[in-house]
Amino acid sequence: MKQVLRLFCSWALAVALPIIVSIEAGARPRATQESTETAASHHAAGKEYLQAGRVQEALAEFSKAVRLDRNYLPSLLQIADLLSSSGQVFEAYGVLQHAVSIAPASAEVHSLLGRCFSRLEKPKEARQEFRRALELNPNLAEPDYGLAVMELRQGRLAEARHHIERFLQRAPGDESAKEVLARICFEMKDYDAALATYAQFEKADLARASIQKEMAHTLLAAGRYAEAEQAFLAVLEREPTDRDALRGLFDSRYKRGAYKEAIEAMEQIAKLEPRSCEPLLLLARAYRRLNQFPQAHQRAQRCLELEPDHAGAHFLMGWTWYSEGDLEKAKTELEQAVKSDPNSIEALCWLATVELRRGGAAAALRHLEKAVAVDPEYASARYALAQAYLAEHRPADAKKQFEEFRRLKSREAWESTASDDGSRSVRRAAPEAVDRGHLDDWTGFANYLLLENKPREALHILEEAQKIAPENTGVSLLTAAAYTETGEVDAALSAYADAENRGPTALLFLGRGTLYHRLGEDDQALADLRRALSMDLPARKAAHAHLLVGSILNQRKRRREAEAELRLAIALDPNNSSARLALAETLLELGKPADAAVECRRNLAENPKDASARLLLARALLDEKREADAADEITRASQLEGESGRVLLARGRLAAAQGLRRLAVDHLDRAGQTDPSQIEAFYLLGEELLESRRPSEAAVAFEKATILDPMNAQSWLELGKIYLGAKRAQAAVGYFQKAANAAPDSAEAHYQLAVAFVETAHLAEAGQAARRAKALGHPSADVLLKSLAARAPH
Amino acid sequence: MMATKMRKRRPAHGHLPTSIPCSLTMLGVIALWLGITAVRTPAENGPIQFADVTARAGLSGYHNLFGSPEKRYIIESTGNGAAWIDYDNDGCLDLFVLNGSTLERQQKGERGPGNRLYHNNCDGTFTDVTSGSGLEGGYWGSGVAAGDYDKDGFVDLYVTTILEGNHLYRNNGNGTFTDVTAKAGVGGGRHVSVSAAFFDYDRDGHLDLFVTNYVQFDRAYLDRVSPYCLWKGLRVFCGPNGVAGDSNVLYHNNGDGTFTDVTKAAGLQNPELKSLGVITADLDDDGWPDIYVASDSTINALYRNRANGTFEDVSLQSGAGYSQDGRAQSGMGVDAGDYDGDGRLDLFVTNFQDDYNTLYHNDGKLTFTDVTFAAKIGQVSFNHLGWGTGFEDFDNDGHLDIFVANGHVYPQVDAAHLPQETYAQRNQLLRNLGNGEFADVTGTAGDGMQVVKSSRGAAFGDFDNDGQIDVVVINIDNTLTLLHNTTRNRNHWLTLRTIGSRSNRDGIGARLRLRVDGRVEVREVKTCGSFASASDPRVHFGLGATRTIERLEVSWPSGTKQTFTNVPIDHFVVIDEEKGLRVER
Repeated sequence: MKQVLRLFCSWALAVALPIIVSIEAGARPRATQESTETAASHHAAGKEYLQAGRVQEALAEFSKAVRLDRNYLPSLLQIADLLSSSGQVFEAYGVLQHAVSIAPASAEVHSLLGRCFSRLEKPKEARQEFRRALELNPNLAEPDYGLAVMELRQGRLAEARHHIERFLQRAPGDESAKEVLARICFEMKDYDAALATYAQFEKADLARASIQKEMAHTLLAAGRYAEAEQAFLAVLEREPTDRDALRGLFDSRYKRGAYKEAIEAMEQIAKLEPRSCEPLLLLARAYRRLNQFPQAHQRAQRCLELEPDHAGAHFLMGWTWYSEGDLEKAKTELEQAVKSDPNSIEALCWLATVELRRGGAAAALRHLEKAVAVDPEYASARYALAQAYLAEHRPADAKKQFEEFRRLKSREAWESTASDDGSRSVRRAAPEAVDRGHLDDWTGFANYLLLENKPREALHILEEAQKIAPENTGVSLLTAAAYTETGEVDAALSAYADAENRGPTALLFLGRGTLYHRLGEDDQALADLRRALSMDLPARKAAHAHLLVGSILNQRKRRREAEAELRLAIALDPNNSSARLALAETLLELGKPADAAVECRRNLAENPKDASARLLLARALLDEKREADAADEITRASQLEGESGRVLLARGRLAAAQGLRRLAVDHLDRAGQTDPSQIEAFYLLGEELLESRRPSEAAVAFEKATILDPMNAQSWLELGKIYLGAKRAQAAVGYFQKAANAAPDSAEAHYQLAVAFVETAHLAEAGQAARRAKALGHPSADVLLKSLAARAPH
Repeated sequence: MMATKMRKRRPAHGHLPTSIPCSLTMLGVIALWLGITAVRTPAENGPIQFADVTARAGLSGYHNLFGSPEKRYIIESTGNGAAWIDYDNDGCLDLFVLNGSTLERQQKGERGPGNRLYHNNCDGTFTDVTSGSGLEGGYWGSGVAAGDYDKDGFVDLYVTTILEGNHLYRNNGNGTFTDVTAKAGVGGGRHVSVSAAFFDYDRDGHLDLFVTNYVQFDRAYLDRVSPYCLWKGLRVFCGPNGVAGDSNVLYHNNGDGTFTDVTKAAGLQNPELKSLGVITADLDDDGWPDIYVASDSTINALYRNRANGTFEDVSLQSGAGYSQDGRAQSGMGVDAGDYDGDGRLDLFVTNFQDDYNTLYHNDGKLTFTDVTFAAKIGQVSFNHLGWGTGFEDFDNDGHLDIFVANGHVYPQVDAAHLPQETYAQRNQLLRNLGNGEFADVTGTAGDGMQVVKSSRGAAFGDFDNDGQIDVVVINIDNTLTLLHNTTRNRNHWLTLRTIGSRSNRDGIGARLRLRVDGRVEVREVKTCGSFASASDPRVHFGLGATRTIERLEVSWPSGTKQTFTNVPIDHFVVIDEEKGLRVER
């Protein structure tokens, strides 16, 4: 790896510097005699340009300094800083690799490396570098900022908060750091702290729409609906068509019970999106809430005009008719809902209710049995099915359903009796005397608070519960879950460890496995998830476990096993769109585009706005050579999320399949710039550049791919071929060795390695590699071995 | 001014001929105009009407006090009930009204404003006779149950309190009551007790007592852990979620003035419930009274009487434990009545704002179906928070209507300025249309139904003995409301008072089946139901246009059965377990 990076660094300096130096943007502030030019003087000039805001000139000066002294660290640091700040992350990375080789104890170098890794979405490496920087210089500010961002992404919120607060101690006026702190507090559900942070912003910054909106969302999450409403209104004053703000306005009004006003907000969204069902259905629900049934019907009907098979719209129509007492119309609409979405639990349950009212007990039973089969954990369906069995004089079947209902109810013991808000209570009172008999109340209540997304309040309760029953596994598990939600990872893991000591359970392993996966510690995650699956898990949770296992196996390129896991996930939870998407991706990797397309379409039937599904479908269609259809899907995805990195990647792939090289290169290049973490974009770009006979540029692209994924054997292989073609056999050997290490079973890698060894006259090594290639079935290995044998001394 | 003068006594056949000579009509009209109508002028079948006659009746002096105005704790929100009782057996219903207190007063050992006993003067007015009655209280009163537990012919009272122990008052028969709690053994300890019911669960002829307890309350802990909770963005008191429940209590009447706590032995102990309302009635028609408890945010409990001194918890499988979609509601008030005339007692439970009051149809064999929406009740109850309630035939058309006392629990809700959600609310009147559906007729039911207060308990009774059911409503931290039923129509009625001998003296639990016009109307004698209140023990039947009753069947708790024909309509009739039927007035 180091060798490669050095090579890359050389490339970066070789390629980047001339470009930089060629940019001359006006006179230098001070004239310098040629004879007195030093690295230091150019560096000083660069600093002056920087202070004056003349970045290009500054870069030019720093580059001159490095040309005079390639080990001049201050200028190298400045170059790296400017490159990475301008999005040229790979270029900056190359410079920094050189810098770290000459100054491994430089905190600034490690800090900048951390920044690069962060931008390349390599969190482990980024954290490592930032921590190293802090070890070398605890007073350096940027590593704390960088660590805060990385920990935030990993869900280690407590650590993130610690680092950003340290940063702010040194840079209290840094507004972006304050934004990060506010966001961390929001994610930790410490809304008061988030709002306190916003209060420290300068007035000018507070007036920024983005900050105003964040504040509004924080107020909404904190349950301060009236204030949230005012905050969203302030945003809308400046930008009346801000959809996000309108939606926030709707939510805050709806949650505080101002349904009429909420409707006003949603009507505006409906006007902005006249072809979208979502606002219409929200309006229908809101009108229904006000008992304004004709208006509710009207909105649902409008949705059906746009999407005649919209299950949600049919459901709302049916549900509303039921409330109005028109059972026939209710039946018609609910049947239509079920037809459009056979797995709609709500529609099945309400249709069953209607059938029961009409005296159709047998039909009701069928619908309820289906509902329970679709979602075994839907308590209401169990209850209704139990009642239906009783009505049909099947007490034994009823008893089973009641038992399941009781079990489900005890897990969601504190379902709210109020409507959406549901927080008729948050705290718990308990007699001061220890009362273990009420421990179930406490844990049930904590569970309720977690379901209501109130982990801090749950922790309050659990503290008390722990005093009563410190050895209780359920309390530990809930504590772990609560700490996971607040991002206090170490505390969560400690609670899981406590619980495991008392008695391992399926839910424990599932919870901890999920947390480990989130932290990127996949070995532990896999172990825990497999243990959870070996125990008794409810269907949905088992599906979740299979999904995570599948994801990990996919990352490790164990596609067939991943497919099996994902299929299990879907079997257990047919509505799990994430599992379907992951399965589609896996099937594509396994060369099964038709099957992948089926899965994508299933997801899109539920959610036509799923851009990920659209892009995967486009890929599948492309693999099936249906380029026009693929183009359509890419267009739809672009309409949903604009020209994002992955949309551009899809366009590039399509252009490449169509043989439109220049276009492909353009799209793929922009894809890589837009999202530098897309390894596939760089790999495909390299391929297209090769096809376009631009090997140097192709090498750059492949280098980037290997930086993102050092185990990308294909990229190493291509780099080796490029260098071999450029008569740089020694370099090629290095690349082919990398390819062989990444893919030990690749016949091609070993064969090419053998060829490169021949070029460098390392015949013994060549023979070894050729024999390996032959063993792996390379068709030309035999010929190579014979030629080597012929060259061997007698 | 009332158009009709109250009368203590009526002629033996009180109904009027259907055709009246012209001159008499003129006289009647003039008499009306002069306001001295001697007889009730028949009118077309008009809508149900209620008039607020609180002041006229002399009841304005009562002012309820129940906790702090801002309601910092859940126990300050439940409010009081009232009881219609004829404590002096003069034939006119008297009124006993509970009052509360505050936590601060409790802490300091200070008395609250005290309960009130109002004697019905039988002329539409009441006189405060609390002083010297023995019912003054001064504790933090909650609810009341009424019944002659010692079979001496005078109605006794059981009063529940908030954290101060409950009280059993024995009626001395001379206008005074004696607190016999200690001797009886029914104090119960420091609980948050609410509703209570006298009923004879073992049919031994003595009234037993069931007491509902709400939540366990620990003020110091609440203050420490949670000064407030958020509801729709408003800071309000916390609970019931997160506050521990408390078990209800069943006391067996030993027949000697004492009671025994048989809760556990009877299978009724359940500390997870948060009970507010209770109804005792024979819900499965097996002759034994069952118990149904409305519980806040937990399953409503239905206990089947096994006829051996124990009960079976059939809450879950009955269908009356949860809403139709298996959801726990906030169960406050409850009543049982045969709203659809199928001979079985159905259940009605009042619930929270943003939820519906639930009508459970009795399908037989202790199975119930939530028919709220089919009955058109669901949608009209969403914007109300219901408490006291009752099935009564307010217009005497032969179908049981429903009255609901409404009022929010959070005074803070007014700060949100939501048009559909206020602290003070109108009560509701749902008229039974006779086809399984109800219509909300609140808006056209007279000025009495336009009163806007935060209401809690409601007790039902015919205080003026005009054959129409009236209502008294207790409003939290406010005056009470006496609603006089002024409905004008030609419908007939019958009111029956039961006197047991082998059975309990009040006849509580006696099942009355009235066969009229080929249909059967069923009632059960009870004083419990609604919320924290006790209603008129007399059984009232609306008869519509019917002039003759085919048959009246009475099944007593003792097992005695009686059948009567030639029952007069538009009269107050006494059914004596030993002596049979006689017309009282």
